[in-house]
Amino acid sequence: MSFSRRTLLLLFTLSLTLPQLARGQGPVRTPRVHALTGARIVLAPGRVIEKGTIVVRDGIIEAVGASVSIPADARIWKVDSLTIYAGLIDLAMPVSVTPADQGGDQGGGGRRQPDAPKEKPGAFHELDVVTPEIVLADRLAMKDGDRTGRRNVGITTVRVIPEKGVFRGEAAILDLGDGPLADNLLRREAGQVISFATASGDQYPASTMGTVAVLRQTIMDTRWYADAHAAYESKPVGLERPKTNVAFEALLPSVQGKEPIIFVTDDVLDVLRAKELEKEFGLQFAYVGSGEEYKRLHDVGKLPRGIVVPVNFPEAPSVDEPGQALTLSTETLRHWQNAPGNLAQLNAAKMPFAITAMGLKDVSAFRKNVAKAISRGLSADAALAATTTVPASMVGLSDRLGTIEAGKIANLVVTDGPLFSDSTKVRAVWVDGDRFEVEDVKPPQGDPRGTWELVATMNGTDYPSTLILSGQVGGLSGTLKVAGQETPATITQSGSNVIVSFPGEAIGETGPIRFTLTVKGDQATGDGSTAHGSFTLTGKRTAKPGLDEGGAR
Amino acid sequence: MKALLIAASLLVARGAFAAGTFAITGGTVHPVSGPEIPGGMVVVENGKITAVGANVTVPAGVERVDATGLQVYPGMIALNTVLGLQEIGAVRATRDVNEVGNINPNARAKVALNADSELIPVARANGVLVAQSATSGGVITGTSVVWKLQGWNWEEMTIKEPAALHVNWPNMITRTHNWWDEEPVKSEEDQKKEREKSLKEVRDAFDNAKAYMKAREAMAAGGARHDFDVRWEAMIPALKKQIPVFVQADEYMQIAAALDFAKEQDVRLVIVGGRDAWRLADRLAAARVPVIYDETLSMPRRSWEPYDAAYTVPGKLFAAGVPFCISTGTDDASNLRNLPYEAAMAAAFGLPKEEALKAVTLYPAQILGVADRLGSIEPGKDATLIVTDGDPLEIESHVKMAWISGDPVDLTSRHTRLYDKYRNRPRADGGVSKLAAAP
Amino acid sequence: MNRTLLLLLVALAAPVSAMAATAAGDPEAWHVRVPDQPAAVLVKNATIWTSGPQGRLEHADLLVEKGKIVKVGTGLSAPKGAVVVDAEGKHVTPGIIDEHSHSCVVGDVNEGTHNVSAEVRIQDVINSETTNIYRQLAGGVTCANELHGSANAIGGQNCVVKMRYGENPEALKLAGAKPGIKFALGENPKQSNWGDRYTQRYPQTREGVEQLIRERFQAARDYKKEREEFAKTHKGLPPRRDLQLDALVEILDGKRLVHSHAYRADEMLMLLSVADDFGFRIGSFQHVLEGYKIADEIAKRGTGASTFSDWWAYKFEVYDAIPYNGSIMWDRGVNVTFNSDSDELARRLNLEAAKAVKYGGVPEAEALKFVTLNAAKQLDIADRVGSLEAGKDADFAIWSGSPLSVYSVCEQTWVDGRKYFDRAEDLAARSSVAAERDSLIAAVKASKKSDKKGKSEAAPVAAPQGAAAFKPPKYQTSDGQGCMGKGDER
Repeated sequence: MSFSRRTLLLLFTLSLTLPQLARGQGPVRTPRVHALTGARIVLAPGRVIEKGTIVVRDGIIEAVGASVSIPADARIWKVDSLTIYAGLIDLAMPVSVTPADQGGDQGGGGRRQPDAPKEKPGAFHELDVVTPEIVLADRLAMKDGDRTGRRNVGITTVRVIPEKGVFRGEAAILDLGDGPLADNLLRREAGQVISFATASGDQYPASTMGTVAVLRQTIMDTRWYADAHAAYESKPVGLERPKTNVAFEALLPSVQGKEPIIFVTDDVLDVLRAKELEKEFGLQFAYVGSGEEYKRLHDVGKLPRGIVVPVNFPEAPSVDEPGQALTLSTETLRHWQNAPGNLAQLNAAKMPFAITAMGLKDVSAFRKNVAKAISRGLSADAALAATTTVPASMVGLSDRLGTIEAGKIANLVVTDGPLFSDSTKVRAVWVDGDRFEVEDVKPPQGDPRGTWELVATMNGTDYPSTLILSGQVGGLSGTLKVAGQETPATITQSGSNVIVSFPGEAIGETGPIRFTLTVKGDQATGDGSTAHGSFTLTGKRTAKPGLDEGGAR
Repeated sequence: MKALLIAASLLVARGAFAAGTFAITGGTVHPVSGPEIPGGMVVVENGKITAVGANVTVPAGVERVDATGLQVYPGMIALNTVLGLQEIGAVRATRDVNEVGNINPNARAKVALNADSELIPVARANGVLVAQSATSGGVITGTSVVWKLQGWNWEEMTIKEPAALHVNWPNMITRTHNWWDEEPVKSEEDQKKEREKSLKEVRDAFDNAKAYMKAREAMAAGGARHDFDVRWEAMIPALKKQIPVFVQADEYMQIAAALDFAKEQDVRLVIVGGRDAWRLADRLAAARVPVIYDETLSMPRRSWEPYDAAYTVPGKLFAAGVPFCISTGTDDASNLRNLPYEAAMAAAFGLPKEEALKAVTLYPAQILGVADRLGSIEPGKDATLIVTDGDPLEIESHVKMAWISGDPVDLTSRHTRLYDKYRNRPRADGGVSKLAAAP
Repeated sequence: MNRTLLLLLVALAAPVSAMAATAAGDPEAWHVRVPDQPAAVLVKNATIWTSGPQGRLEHADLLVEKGKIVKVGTGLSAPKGAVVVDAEGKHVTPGIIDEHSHSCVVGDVNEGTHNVSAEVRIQDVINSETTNIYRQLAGGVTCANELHGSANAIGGQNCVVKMRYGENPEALKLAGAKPGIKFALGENPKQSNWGDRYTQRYPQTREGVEQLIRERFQAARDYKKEREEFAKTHKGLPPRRDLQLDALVEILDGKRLVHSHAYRADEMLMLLSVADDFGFRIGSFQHVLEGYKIADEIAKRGTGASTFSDWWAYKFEVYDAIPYNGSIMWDRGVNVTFNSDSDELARRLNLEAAKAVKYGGVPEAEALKFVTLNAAKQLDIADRVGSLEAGKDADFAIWSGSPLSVYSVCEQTWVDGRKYFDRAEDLAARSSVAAERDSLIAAVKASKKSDKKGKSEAAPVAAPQGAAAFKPPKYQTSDGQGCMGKGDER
């Protein structure tokens, strides 16, 4: 089987973006000067150049315009008949925090004794849900599938937020390039994330009113802590020293209004409840919404720091059998119908909002869903603003992101039509001036997750391996166990095909190795190739994945 | 004369009145099977009603019970209860309602009836004189008994057993995720599989029991030997259509499936619960399948249904010609005394008043197949009657006297005893009670 | 314009009426417009149960202006432009007050992970969106005491709400109601019926329940002293504010009423003696099913009793519950109410009141007070609600017959002089409710078909009905593009 030209191009591109090998030949020194010519460039919502050129140098936009001189050292990318947008910014990407070696939850049932402090190493808050000291950037567990899933829809910058807890820790802002976090991080501490999430298991707080009590008491405690320590420091002699608490120390800047607070909500009543807290403590939150704001938009009123709103519109419920329609509540039916119109209403109410891909079962539906919102009355410009200029402004990065302007970071999305249209494909995404090809990816079909026993046959010899696919449909992650080694793999799903790419070093090759599996139920067939030749594959699924972890709360 | 009446009524309240043979005179008689008879008479001989009417000859020497100003009704009948099988819901040792395992047609409620349950006198003090009790665990839950609510032990109190075979129809709808629930709901596929499994269990049980019945009959006629099976044996009366199959089915698809199943298996079906029964009224009426509706005093099942959805079901069933009656449900039996108020709510929301009364007297008797003895005041039936000071469906009314098969019913209970004790506690303020004498 | 869209638009056309219509069965509060408050309302020619000194009046009128009762009497005349309700043959009562409700709470009604949770507040989790509000309006309820559950000896703070269906959570709250807090005694807080997994949390006995409560009140006393000392001397570190102890101090200071779930006579005597020792009055016992055994002791302290009419035998501690409980306590001078503790029973509290007549012979007008004025007194809101007297809120219900008759149906329910429930309107709206569902289901089916064909979304649909009611305020963003205020840039 011969390589297609496209595959060649892909491998070449991939090799440009491989992490530098510590013991290999030394760092790759490919020039990073590019000129994208002949495209329709959307500089910002409402500002378009019908045919122009963008020059990118070392990750920054050097020049953009209708007639820009192309530097002699630039690599030229002819993008005629394509459109280029500024890379999209998603301000609410929930990720899990890699566990530290803190004493974990008290497993095995039984409720806690009241007032008995938890045995955790370190001077932390006794409640599991109060962990404001966590800096997510230091404990980021983002899966490959999550990164590529978002990047493939044009998102180039994300604000990651911890998934669990009441006081969850510091969000971080990063670009979605490959490579180590150090290269991609824009802001290590981007705001304290809090919510009304209840604790899991039999831990306090188990009720929503319990979380409100925790929120109020913790904010009061933080302020008291500052006063108590100030009093002690000014005159320690003769006073018993106050306890140390890392959580309060971490929380103080937010509670003093010096640092942003990002409030994650699950429904519109959460927003109303959070506003009461704002009033009580003289704070202002930046909200992450639920899509239900339209239900009590008037009561929500003004949100000066804006709201980041998802587009995870509900699927059409099944109504085939006669008895089934009875099970559908009017609320469910109405929300199915109304949800896509939510953004248009926020826009009409002049509520400052940004759009996030959070909550989508399949991230690749993001642009299609924004398109739906546009069909329900949100202007295309407002949609683009809500994914570029508005989020940039919300986090104070307007000077660097959100539009295509000389001097800004070279985060770009190249499409073959209007960005928010179901028929448009994203062709390439640029992050910090590095290009990522986007596969001609069809919407994923079926659920290939689980454990697969594969046999690759090359030149008559069989090579067994195990592939574990996890994560979410549309944003899969993979691990390949081959030749006694475990190696992470990048997974793309297109229709019922799963395209796997893993570092060839795992089997003594150089460069990435790709293969494609076509999944039918619990069986798969496929093929791939290495430098030594091509191989065919058969596979059998031997285990299905467990239930998902569940959403942000 | 008034003092005598008062004295008599006091005696009456404590159960010291006529037994077996007597005549009730002077009250308004409500036969239920016919129009009311003002100033009517009921003659009882040896526990059976022998005459009912406005001008009836009372045989000589028969004791008269004066019911002037009062009302005479048949005793009420509560279907599908756990009376006698459960004392205190939270105390496991007092519960004999759920046997382990899914197939227990041979769990006979009769043998576990506690004749001295404190709950029984409380029920009969408000006019519930007969009940049907059944176990309700698993899928095929057991065989029920109809019994009178006064007597020495279950043997003596049993009116009919087996009364019905009881089945809990499996849930037929797929539940989607409740976003406030921490536990994820099983996938649609898994739920479907569970449902198939339960439905198969029901089907297999009936098929196996049929095969057993056939084989045993063949054995009786000289054929090969087949061992006795306690479970399939208990299903034979239902298979032979001697007793009905009471299927607990509330939701539309459950009721539809139960109808299909009963037709396929050729058994006599009674729907218990019946929340959505009105949605299939035509089918039920055409098949003459009775509905024991025990959900009157409940919330609408669905958030979008009108607020009176549960109240209006009996009225709709009646209008569509579906045979039905009203009951209180199987959660516990501590308040069977409120049976008439379930019927009353149905009357407030569309069921004609006379039908509401029949729904707790004659119709339950008919559904159980004991209407030859109970359910109305007609010659030939048992003298199982109540005398009240008003419409028994109105809350403010009281039962003044009652008989079961002509035996006077003790209307005292744990409640009246505690009432007497504590209302007579000397008052701290030394004052006088504002309350009248005990009703 | 495709057919589906047309159907949808037709179904969603808002009904037009002179006065903004009631919710008429809409299951979503946010979707409902709050009814207007007419300048004046005159209800004419009804049997009016005032629950007040005027007693029960025949052929009487009720005059309401701007949401307040102006007068109850015979032959009243309507001011110009008043809404006149012809109530001949009907009965009018004060709106029913459910003294024990969990119907309007978001999330778990218990914070059962700790045995003391005085810091949690039901007011933080009022659920404005529940259909319970509408369904209870349909049963004549206008006001409810939303309580924490009974999982803890010392539970959370309560919140009194009015059934203003359609309003947001803050607007449901009855401003100025005296704060309260839930306690619980007996089997529930000692986890008797929670199963084998729950046998470790202190306390597991009634003796332990007493000690827990006493210890917390002592701690509250000490906390209060510590704060008072610091306020005077400013010596040492400032004491930490503790939300739990704050609530307990309010109890000691008589600013927060204890409403304690309790069944057995012994445990109620225990709590009465604790309150005596610490110098406060227990606001009410809830359920109080053995209250009849110690009616004098309860009456002596002026503690109220909020009970069930006839529930019993579901737990061992209610084996001695009798339906005469209410009448005996009432007879001995206790302020008695009947409550529901149930979404379902809350709709029928008028009939529960009738049971006080049946069991013990409480006079009818007094029995009705069990679900009106007496509840207002227990919650210390009797200056505003609970009876039809001049100056009080116009919260009332109109019934087709005596409120104590099983055959009567609630026809209208008004709160603050606004008609939130009207059975005739509810019935009239049913066909359009059904039509809306049908068109939504048709739209779902149509969208599935077009999805299968691979077509893009159907044509834009009109904004939902609720949207028409919103008047979105005009917001200005500070910089026209983002939303950070001045000086907030990082």
